[in-house]
Amino acid sequence: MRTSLTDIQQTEKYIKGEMSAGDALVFEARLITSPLLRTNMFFQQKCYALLQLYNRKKIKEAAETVHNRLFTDPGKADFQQCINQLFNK
Amino acid sequence: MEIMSPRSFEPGIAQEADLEAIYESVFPAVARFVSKRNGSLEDAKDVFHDALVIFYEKGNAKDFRINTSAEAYLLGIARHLWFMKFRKDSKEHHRPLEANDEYIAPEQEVDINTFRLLDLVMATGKKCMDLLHAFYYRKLPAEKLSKDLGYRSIRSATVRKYKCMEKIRNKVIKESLSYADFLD
Repeated sequence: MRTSLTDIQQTEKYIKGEMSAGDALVFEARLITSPLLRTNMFFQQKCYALLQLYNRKKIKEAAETVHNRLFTDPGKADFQQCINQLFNK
Repeated sequence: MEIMSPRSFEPGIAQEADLEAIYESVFPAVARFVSKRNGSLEDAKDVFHDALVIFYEKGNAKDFRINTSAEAYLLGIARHLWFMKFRKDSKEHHRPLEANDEYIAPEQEVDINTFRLLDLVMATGKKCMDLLHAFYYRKLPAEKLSKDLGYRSIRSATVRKYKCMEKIRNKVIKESLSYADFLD
């Protein structure tokens, strides 16, 4: 694997706390001496945040689909009635 | 109906079947709770969907364990979110937290820039985002995951994963330089 990919792998292990204490110390020393590694780590963390958001969007889209199905499927009339009567007082 | 402990969320028909079972089992209790507090059906849906997000995110965490049924846990999250969301308006804002609230981490705030950034990244990097999503959110052994994604070995799948991370990271850097707001 080329160096830039190994750096990404190392950065991931460091961020996720999967590095041994010794390796983490070496990595931290590299962070101090390499502004590029620091910058890349900052943006890699942004990528994990984006992936988390993407995962949330996928869950919400699926929940929306299921919600719409449950409230329109004639076979779910009992469920619909049970919910609707709570709000139609 | 007994529902399973939260697992990682994998989009697909099978997952929607699970979700439907969860919905039918837990949503009526959430709706009853919200309606008793003068909330609307839309409010109930909102807190329930947010609770589902936390439920699946928690299920994805390595050291996650619950000491109650999954239904009770999910209902607990929804109730907690309701109190958080409507704390200012609710007369019940002095109500002590539920016993199982200690398991509920407040949902991390996502700022508007992150939503914009995701849209920009998705425009050109959807394939990579889907691959990375599979790696980080599908709880499968490396060998099975690599095979499912169409790679001959774990190693080639891993290399692809880091190449995708590099591509997405570089896209984020590029967009961040165009919009200084993303650097916050």
